[in-house]
Amino acid sequence: MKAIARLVSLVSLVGTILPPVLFFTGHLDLDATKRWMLVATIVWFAATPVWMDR
Amino acid sequence: MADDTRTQHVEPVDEYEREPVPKRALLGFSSFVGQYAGEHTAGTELMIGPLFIASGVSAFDVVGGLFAGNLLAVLSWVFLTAPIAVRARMTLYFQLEQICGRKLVTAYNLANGVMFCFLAGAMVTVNATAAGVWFDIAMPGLNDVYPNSVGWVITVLVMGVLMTIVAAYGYKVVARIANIAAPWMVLVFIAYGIIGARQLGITSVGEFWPKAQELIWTGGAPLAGRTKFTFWHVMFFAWFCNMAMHIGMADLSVFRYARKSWHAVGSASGMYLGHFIAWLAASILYAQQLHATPGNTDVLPGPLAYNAAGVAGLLCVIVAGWTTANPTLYRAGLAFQAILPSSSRYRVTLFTGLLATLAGMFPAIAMKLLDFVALYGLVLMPMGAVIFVDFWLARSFRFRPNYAAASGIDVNWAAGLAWVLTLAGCLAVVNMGGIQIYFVGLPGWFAAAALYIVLSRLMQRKEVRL
Repeated sequence: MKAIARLVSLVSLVGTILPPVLFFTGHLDLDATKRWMLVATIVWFAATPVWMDR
Repeated sequence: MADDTRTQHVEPVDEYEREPVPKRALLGFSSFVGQYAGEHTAGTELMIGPLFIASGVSAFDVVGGLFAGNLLAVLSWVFLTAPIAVRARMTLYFQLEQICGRKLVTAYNLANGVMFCFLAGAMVTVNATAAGVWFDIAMPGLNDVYPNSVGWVITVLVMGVLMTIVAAYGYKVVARIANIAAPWMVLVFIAYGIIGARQLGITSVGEFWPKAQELIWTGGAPLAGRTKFTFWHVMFFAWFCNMAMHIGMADLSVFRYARKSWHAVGSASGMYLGHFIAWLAASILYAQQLHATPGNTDVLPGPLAYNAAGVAGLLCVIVAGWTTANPTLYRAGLAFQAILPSSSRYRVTLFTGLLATLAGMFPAIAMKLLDFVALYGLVLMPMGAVIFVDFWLARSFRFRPNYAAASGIDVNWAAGLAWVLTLAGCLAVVNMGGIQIYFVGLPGWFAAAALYIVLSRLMQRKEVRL
């Protein structure tokens, strides 16, 4: 369970930084960037408490 | 900026306060990397970055100044703070009590508590700018001193009271959220910079430096009421914004847990993520705002973050502000509680939080954060010089270290006078000599050290002196 949660956390961190990078390179518009960052944020805060600081 | 805590050992700790930290409790290098990275990526970074632009700094001066100043800060932790911390393994307060006596430490605690309150007030202000985005309230401008609307006062009051109650009753919950949020926050701060750069029309990494000089840090005239910043302003600000922590020795309490003094190199994570990348990213957001709406000079972290990263950006401001205000309020409460030991910690924290909330209503503190942070370090710095001299040089100059403990006095006047005279001298130079506050910390530290040596030689009783 913890291993899965760690993986999900890692993916959500990538999901936090990748949309801005895609926006920078012109592959994503700003609204979609903001939306994906919010999704990644929600996933991070859902998955990370499962394995961190327990 | 600083103050705060995201790892276990800086949580409210009631252990080893009056004894050296034992070997079994020592921590490895990675603990300090994580702590400093989280601690120095705070909501107030979003205030500081824009204020560099308001001060008309150029691209080379800000990047070079931040690089050099942060390096000097790390070296100060490594070569001044940590070597004492790993040898004595005592808290700052206990070590000061041995040198200065209980009553003088009480005065130090009062100064420390008041400064922490104002710092927490700035964090409440930052959070209120994020809440203000939701409720569309009128927010303060760059040069506002007083609250400018009823909506602003109510927003600060609500945010401040919530943060206070949580600091008093839910410290550990927020400390845990701080640990969890730290990696995500660092990435959101980086995202601010990337998005802001693209909004300014920068489309490749190669374009960044030329466009940064042209559009972001142009090196022009400062905004009205601001001091023009050069390389030296930036370098000394970056070095001394945590002056209280390194040459002021407050982080003795942190590094007493380090296995080796070189573990203080871990502070570089906070300096280069928080005080380099986060400040530059926040600068870019503000430059974008000035570029898109030239008349809008407001430095409001909430709207800046929301425009770049939407709700995730806004959440980052709230989490960063909240998680750093939490330990700041707690530390202020501890400082005040040391003055009134019989009072309950919860009541003291509530009182402290309400004071910080009141301070947060006045935007001048946040809008003049560069000056306030410099003042905060200056107030506490002389005691760091006293500790340094007492630890390393007292025997060479033939006076007794830990004089208060050795002689049983409540006030070591040599330390007290070194503190007050240095502070008075530095402030006089700033106010009457026209020297800016960023530049007096370094000579002030040497002045405090020299004063403490001379006064100790003159004032220590012969039967106690070496």
